[in-house]
Amino acid sequence: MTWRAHGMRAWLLQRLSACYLAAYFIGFLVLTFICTPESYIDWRDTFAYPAINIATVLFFVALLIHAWVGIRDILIDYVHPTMLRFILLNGLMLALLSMGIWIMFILFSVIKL
Amino acid sequence: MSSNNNKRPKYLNLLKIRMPVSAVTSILHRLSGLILFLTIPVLIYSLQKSLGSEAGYQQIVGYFSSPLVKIIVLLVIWALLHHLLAGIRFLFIDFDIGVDKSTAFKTAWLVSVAAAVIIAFMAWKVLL
Repeated sequence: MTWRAHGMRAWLLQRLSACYLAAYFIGFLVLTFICTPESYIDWRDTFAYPAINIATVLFFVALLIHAWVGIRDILIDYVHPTMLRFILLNGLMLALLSMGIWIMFILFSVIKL
Repeated sequence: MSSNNNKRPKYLNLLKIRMPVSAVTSILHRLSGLILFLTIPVLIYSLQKSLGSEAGYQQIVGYFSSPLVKIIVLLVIWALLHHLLAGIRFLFIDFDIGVDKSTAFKTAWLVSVAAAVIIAFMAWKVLL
């Protein structure tokens, strides 16, 4: 089973997620430039802020969506045997979902509401 | 769909097909994307360890003092820079900016050179 995202939808998902990734990246660079975390406590407290924590969750959601569109394109372009491609596409989905759940557990464990 | 009945001529000698700079920039965009994808689990794991405990934080910080790790991280950041800049170039092309051949070639060069220059600067600051 592949989650259908053809043509325009894949294009839009890829571009929109890319915009958010770029914005977060720049924001994160600016933040760490202004307030460089010097210790474990500083570092952990950075992600304790709900705004930063949630923005980071969204970053990884955007990253996994963006990666899905890109890697899916690569698999579709270069893997010609149908069964192998099917297996890899589903493997990709599994890996991405697992990583998404993993990062949410991590960020959920440090948030201070 | 490719099938064994397809008798149309096919020429895929990559060594003989001309690869202008925009083609190279584009395939590097794809390759850098793949590389970055493979670093995602490492990124998540580093975040887990560094946020989990003081010991974990020190362990991750400790990794960054090794020259080998620094070089690998620089290569990954290079992949990121190239992917980001080439991606922005594609976004402009999506909106019909810089589509004509001469501008496309210039921006492809610009993107590749900018990524290389920035990473060279970072390498200089970090390794020396």
